[in-house]
Amino acid sequence: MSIRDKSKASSKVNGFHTGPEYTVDNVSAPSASETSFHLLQRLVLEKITGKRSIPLTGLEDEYTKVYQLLEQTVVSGEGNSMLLIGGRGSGKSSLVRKSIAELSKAQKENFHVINLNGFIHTDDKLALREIWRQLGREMEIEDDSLSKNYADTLATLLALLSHPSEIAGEESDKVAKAVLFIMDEFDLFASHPRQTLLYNLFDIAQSRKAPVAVLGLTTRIDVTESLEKRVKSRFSHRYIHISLPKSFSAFKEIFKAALQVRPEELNVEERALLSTPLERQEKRKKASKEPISLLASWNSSIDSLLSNLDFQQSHLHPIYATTKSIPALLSSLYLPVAALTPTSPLLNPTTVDSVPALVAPQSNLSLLSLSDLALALLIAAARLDIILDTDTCNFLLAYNEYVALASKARIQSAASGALAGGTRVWGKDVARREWETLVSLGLLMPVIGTGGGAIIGERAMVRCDVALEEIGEACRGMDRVMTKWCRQI
Amino acid sequence: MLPEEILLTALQDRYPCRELLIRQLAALYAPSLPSPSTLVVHGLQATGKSSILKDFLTARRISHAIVNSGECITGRHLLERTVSASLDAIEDTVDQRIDRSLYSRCQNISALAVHLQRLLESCDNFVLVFDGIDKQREAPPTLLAALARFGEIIPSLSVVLIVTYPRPRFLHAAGVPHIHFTPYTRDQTIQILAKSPPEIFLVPPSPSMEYTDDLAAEDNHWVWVRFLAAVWDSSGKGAARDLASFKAVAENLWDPFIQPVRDGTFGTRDFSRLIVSRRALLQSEDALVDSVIPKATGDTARTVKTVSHDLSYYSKYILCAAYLASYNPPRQDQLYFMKSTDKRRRKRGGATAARKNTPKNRKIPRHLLHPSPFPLDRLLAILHAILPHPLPHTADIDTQIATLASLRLLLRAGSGGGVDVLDAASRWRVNVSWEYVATVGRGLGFEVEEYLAGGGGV
Repeated sequence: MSIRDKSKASSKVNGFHTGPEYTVDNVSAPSASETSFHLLQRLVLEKITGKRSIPLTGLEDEYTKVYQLLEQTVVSGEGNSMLLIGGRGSGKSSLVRKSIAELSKAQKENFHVINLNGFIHTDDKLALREIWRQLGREMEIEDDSLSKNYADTLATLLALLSHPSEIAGEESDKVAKAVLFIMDEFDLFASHPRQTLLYNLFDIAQSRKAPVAVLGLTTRIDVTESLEKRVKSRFSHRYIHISLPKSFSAFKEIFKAALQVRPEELNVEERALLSTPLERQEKRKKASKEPISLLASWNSSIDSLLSNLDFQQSHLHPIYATTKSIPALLSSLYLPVAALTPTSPLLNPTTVDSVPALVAPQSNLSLLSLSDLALALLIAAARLDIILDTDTCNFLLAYNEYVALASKARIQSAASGALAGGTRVWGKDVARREWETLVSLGLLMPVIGTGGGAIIGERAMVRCDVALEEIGEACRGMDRVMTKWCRQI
Repeated sequence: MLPEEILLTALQDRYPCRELLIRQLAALYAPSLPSPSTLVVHGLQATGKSSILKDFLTARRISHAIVNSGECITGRHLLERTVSASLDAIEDTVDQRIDRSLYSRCQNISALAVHLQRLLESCDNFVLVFDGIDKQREAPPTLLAALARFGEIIPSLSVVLIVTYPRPRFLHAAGVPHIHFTPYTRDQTIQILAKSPPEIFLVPPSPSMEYTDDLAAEDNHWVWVRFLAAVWDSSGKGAARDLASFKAVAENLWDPFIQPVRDGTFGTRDFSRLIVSRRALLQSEDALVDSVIPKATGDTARTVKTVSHDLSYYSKYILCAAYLASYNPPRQDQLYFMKSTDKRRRKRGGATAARKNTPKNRKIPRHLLHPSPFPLDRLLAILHAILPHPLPHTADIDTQIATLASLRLLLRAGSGGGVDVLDAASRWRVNVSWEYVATVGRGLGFEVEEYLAGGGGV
């Protein structure tokens, strides 16, 4: 990356923060401190977006186990299988990635890695094809040997994986290259019919035909229940449970490790990546020359940010209490970091608060700005759930309820002498349109398959997806009359 | 000013009230900083998600492909289009032909991943936008979760998913950044629509009145903004809140609203008098309801409402019986239709109906539900019970039922393909409303309500 590109980057960042300063420092050539700032910003953002691995924190034991298993497979030619079980964002994948990266430093020539994902490789045939493709690319096998026949492919693959001695029928000292299978969303592979792939992989791993390690990553704790008997008996029953951080301080530690940039990470990167060793060295030199380097001040700013009580209250505690998800927390910091400028290069609580977070919304209802009529119909439908003691209703029922409520409110407002007459009873056709909006938004779910009900039209049965209390909670700025409808039956 | 800054300002001029979101996008897709591998853009309809994203990516010259789910009829169609759109976009950026024979087939998500991997090997930054992906027809079950992981597999790819609203955990992934396109508020809606006021005078007034174009433009804007505010308060707030439908309503109402000014009854600045005279227009709901049938005026509207068939005496009774069969639960038939213990039983039935007054657990009004199907012999039994005199042998009931069925007043429930239409076991349901059957019954001197479980409708 050249110096010119960096200067563009700085303009971008400034573009986000319309400050008066940006025109000043972009005309001149970027100084060395600016360059190092942009590098730091880039590094941190790479960690936030998951393009650069985050140091493992609190998972040392688990890491040792996985690493040993992989090492034994590669070095001593064992067949192994293991399951990693843990919630989303608990660090399963980064654990495996780190182990493989570490292993490839010493043993790069001696193993292949096959990555499979249950979401992408949705049946055994596809998975097999993918294994073939990834192996073929690494082993440089020509593509036409891939036959159309599933059984043939499987047989060839098995032969390929087996020890050469077994095929030749004679003893030889040649050790086959190890193959590491990383299977993301392992539970989905178990849902494939007959579990052929799993059976064969586990069989190879168990019968020591070849050095194969099968690592399954899953979120489901009961995943072995779904394995067939013949598959289960071939599985080594080694599990690692990866839990989400157990205490708030552990949670904070992980977050700190994710945001801070340690010198040792940089050194590893320097060796691993080809990109710009020159600039990095310059940066390292800078860091050593200045009394307090940018790196050190960045790290200390993260420390102070984390100890800030307001920041804890507004960012850390909510996520810790709900999901404990580090990735969610990191993505909420993307914009604040991207908005940093060379003149104010450090994060502090006020800059974090000034930019909206990119987090997933908590509730759908609060997002939808429903029209008054649609909201009233939704309330009517939710009321009917309670009043009629059923879980389904249709448009006619809800509209009748709405008309009853709205006319009552109208009479009351007329009686109390309100001239504005804010409550208006809408006609059936308009209400029907709003009802269909609600259905298309998924707030009302059509009920299909209960005997004899209409599928479309005003008598079609639907299930109201929100409860009456939720509506009252989520739509705060609602009309006073409608708030009353939510509270009183 | 920097070129990027100028581009952003131009974009903000085109899309008012969206400065913050455009700046967020600019920060997320800055060329020198890493972009998030997956981004969810969500917002209700007519909040500018697709168009702002498209214009932004084009203005920034970020190499991108947009796949619109609405144009793809199956999951595979979507995958194939994704590949071809990506090929087109990459050909544009690198400016050389790519051999397409390698990419001719894309049957499943796995193949798409492979194709994209191969395609983006040389590319350092590519944004793939899936528009309306939550509404994809015949999507493979893992489509969304798989797409969200593409960015992890292919480092140079950023996936953007445009959805109406994100369901909780719909991607099965933690920490995916979301951008919310908030719905426009009242003031924002009016501000946006005020940019293009329609003409008050379709034909410019005669030159002698010295009404210049500048004056006309000023008046157009002045009246239009006030008109929009009035429409919002009267109907937009209640039933047409999003920008597109509000605009449609306002345009529907504009011509009739401004007619007095065109006629010369009011001046262009007589807004308060104009709105008082046109109050009925704003209060009616006609502009809100789209209809393919031209609006009937006056007398014809009334005749359409009271459509009735000239049915024979027994057909009317059959219709009433069918209505009762559809809306009465079969287990209460004894209560309502047994002749011997008529009075006493019905009183008991009435008593159960009267008990429903407890507010906590109201009875479901059956007439608002879908009519339930009934076997033909039940209809005949009820018919015998409600007829005031024995059925003469000459009355051809079967023919009349067939006639009612051909008029679609009675419908056959279920699909009994080859079975005889008048087989006693075939099931039917009534297809007329309560109002209709009550009128028919009254014409016969027969109160349907007396026999209806839970009382009559409305």
